[in-house]
Amino acid sequence: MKKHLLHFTDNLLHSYSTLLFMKSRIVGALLLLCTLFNINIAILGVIAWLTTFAFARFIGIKKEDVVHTVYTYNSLLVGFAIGYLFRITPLSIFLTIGASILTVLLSYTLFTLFNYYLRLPVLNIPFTIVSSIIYLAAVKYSALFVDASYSKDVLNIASLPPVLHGFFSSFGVLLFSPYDIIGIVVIVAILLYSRIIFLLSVVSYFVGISIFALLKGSYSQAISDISSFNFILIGIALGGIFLIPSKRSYILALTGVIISVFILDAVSVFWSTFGIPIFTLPFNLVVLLFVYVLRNVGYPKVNNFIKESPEESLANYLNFSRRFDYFTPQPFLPFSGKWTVYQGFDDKWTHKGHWKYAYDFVITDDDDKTFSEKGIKLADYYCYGKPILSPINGVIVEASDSLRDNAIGTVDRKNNWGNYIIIYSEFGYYVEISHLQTKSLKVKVGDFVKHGTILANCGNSGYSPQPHLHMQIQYLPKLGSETYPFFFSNIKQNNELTKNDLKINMKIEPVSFSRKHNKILQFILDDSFIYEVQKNGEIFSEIEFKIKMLTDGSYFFSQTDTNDRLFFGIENSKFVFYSYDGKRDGLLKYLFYGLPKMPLIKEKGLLWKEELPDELFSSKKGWIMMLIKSFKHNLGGVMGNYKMENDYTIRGEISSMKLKSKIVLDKNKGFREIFVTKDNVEWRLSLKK
Amino acid sequence: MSKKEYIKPFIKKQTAGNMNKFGSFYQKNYRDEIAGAKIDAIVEKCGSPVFVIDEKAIREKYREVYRDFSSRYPKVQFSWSYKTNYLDAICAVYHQEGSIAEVVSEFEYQKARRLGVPGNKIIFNGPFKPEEALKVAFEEGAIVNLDNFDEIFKAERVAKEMGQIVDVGIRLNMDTGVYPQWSRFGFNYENRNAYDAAKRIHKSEWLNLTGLHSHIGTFMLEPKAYAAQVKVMIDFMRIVEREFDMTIESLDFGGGFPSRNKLKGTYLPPEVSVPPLSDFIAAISNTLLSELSPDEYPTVYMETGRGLIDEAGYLVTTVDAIKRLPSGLKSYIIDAGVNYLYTSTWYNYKVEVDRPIEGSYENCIVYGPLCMNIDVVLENASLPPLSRGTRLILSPMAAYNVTQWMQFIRYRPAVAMIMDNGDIEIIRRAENLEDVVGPERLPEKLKKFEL
Repeated sequence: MKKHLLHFTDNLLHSYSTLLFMKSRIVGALLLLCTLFNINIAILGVIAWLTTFAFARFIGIKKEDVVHTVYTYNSLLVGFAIGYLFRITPLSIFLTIGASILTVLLSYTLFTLFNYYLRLPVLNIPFTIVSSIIYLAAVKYSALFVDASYSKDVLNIASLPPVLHGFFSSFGVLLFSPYDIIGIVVIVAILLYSRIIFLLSVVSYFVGISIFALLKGSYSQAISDISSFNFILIGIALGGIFLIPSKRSYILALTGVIISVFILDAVSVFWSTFGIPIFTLPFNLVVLLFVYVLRNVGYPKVNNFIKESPEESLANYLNFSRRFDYFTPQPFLPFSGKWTVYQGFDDKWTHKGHWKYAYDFVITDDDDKTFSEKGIKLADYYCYGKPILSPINGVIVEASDSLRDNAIGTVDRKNNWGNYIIIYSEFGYYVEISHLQTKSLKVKVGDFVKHGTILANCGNSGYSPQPHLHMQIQYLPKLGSETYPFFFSNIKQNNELTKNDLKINMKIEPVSFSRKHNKILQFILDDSFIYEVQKNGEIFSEIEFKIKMLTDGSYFFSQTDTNDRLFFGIENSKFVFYSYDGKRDGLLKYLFYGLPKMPLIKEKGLLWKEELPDELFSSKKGWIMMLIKSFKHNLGGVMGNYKMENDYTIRGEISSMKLKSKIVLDKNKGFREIFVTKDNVEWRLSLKK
Repeated sequence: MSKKEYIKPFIKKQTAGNMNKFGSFYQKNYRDEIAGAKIDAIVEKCGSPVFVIDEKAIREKYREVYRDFSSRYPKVQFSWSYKTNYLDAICAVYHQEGSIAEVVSEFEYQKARRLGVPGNKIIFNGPFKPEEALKVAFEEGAIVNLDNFDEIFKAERVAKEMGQIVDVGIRLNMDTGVYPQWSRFGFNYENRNAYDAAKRIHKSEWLNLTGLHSHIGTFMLEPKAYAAQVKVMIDFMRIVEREFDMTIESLDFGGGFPSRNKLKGTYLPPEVSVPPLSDFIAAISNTLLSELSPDEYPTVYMETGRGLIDEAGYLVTTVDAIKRLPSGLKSYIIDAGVNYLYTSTWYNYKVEVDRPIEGSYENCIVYGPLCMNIDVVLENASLPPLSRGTRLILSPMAAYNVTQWMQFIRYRPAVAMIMDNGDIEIIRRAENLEDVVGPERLPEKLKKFEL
């Protein structure tokens, strides 16, 4: 029962905070308190909310359904709208209940349509429509007692200049309470919750008002217009919620605010003929238009993972965009052992123009020669006849090996590409590999190949003066299509993993996948690890990490007593920690510090660098950091250096944070020891058997 | 004008140019240097006889073979076969190149550890591993390949005592179509002995099977035998993985690659009869790539010894006496005998002299200095007339001699390494009396005698 009640209030408070695009019980409670100054709003709001809750359950909408958040917060607004106009009477309560049921139906319908066909949010369209319906209908209901004329002058500050009064009351309007004090409380709540929302709301308001004033020729008229809260909502939604906060999103937000000015006026002319306010119609219209168009033209920073605040959305976006690249193709090397780049991207001989994104590889010896003996026979060349391994998982779409290998020093000008193979990747691109040895194909068209499968041998067919391997990536299946940039996964140069473009004469080799390490780091749901925690050598506590999963399929370590979460996964033969969600001093963080990313390999001495998300280290200073970062995404970033000390030990150092770590893998599963020294405090977590 | 010295007439077979289509001809069958160091300088520094190892040749050969193998198969690890030559300097060169250690006794194990090889970079093979040695190996995480059921039980006892589950491998033997089949080592594949061993380990609480090992023979001349071996081991790996839910992380194909030494009783010269190492490597890697799916690729260990090092070693000896035998055959006595040259039993070494010598070649026999009838270094050498003091340079010499030599009658000679910058380093000095009598103890009552 207690649990139910808690869940219930939780839900209610969250609905309140959603009014300001937030997700916080405290803000929700504060807003609920603000509404209490107008008892009509407060009560009818809650009644509306309860009705939707009950009705939704009654017709069988599950509480896990995402639509739940849509109708609950829309119904709150509907309740406010009714309470704003009418006093609490049985009739107005009846009206509220009816309107709320309508809200649920409308929300559900719009949500399914918008979500499925347009990939758009519903925002508060249901509220705008239902409130308009109620206001229009109410014209005929004389039994309703209109209460709007009751003004709460106590909540206004008389000495305030009109500009500030307009500003504050516009924030108050968000709660149907256009008073200075309420506005100030709302603003303070915003400021404490998110600096980005705060900045956006203030700037949007004043920009909107200024354009308004410019067009109307009267500043006082502009600041007294009660509909200006639309500017605030547009600014927040575009600048910080539906787009990733950035200079560009801020410009787009202001653009949205500016064009909303005349939409607002146009709508109000129309709406006022019926004597009803325009509610949030301009906001809905402008935001939906922007999001729809931006998403469809491929604007790269549409926020697909809306987090609890713009700061968190930005942090999440930066974490993923800086640590993971989900756009550029990342094949593996198409060979085994150490090879040398013979020609890189946009290089001196043939990799030019449309075909500039390609690599040529040869094998060289200590003297940088590509052959032994005199180099006059094909077989003298180190790479000749060496196996070519599939760089990706995919399907063979074209393959040919009928051309003869050229004698050394001659080329086949007619068949530039020589014998070749084209593989279609499961990620939608094509890999083309050229100059195969004659009659060496080991696969045929239609075969599914895994990365590492032998395809053919390296040869000297086509435009190839000496045996070498040519590889490129294209988005069309045809031989000789335009090439596109890519980088190789899991390759090392001088014992260090590298992601950079390869330059001519660079010697690189793949790191080899370890079945053992893959097995050690395969975690299954409910795997439990109990650690003894030592702080500076003294026993501190005993904790349990457990493997759990979210409904979206993301796995995480959960610290049982605190519910801190550390998300992980295996991708591209690497074990990665994606993000941490929990207490600032949570112990799971240490695992993240020590091993943000680890190739599944067993190579002593291998070095790699990995960026860690800033928030992992955030202290009080982080308060305004994300706001600054939103203007400059490449700011900051914490770089860690990692070294595989032996098969099971990985040492790390994050020098900017004066942090040192050592992770020892267990021989069977998981992490046996986690050492982290930070700020001169030594933490040691050792796995108990 | 002095009288010409009388030489007894002898019959000599005439050969003209390249008429012999098989024979190997040394256009210049003298050498006055090894890897840039003058023979005279070497002898002056180290004495005669002296084994000479060419560091650069070791490294070049290793790199060539590793480059070839690693560009044909993604996960290969070479391990230096200690018994081939376990002088510290030699092992260190291989370890510097990235090779781990393969040992077959606790002595070799200790030697590797002393040199600084971590326990988990040692492969411990062999048919006899005392319990204490197994314990140390398990504690230090060595890769241990078990040879027989008794050894499985022994390993189990040790692991149980330690209270720790240990990873082990087993050695297999199988028919790869070559003779002789080395069936005395490991568990037989065909009679399901190996299957039973895997099953026994699967049932064990303390052992965990993670590797398969096999070594099909020595001085193998047929690459296809390796293809057969790889195929069998992959089949076996699949069987145990499927039936016993094990993960085989490594396959160890042993060694057995030939060097360019000339086996006695062979007609063709090694340049013709011995396939290049790349043929063996291709046979192994092609089978691996074609039989396995990429996510199965195990780590492959290779324990090549002879094939990597043999040609990097020489023995410099000095002619001490010339003798015409009653049969008319010319013979020489040199200062190095079969006590240093274990491999002389099956090789006809290549012989070079340290200076150009005029005169026609003659069949002769080269004896060592031992007062033993069996001390024949070269039964049938063809040499120009040598004078006393001429140095003979015998090769290839780097595999097995320096480990299987014995102290017998004479002190064992020095071993020198010609470093890659041409410096001569003594990596094992010549023995002296103290080295030999050091371990001896004379009972009190035997100390006094009068003659």
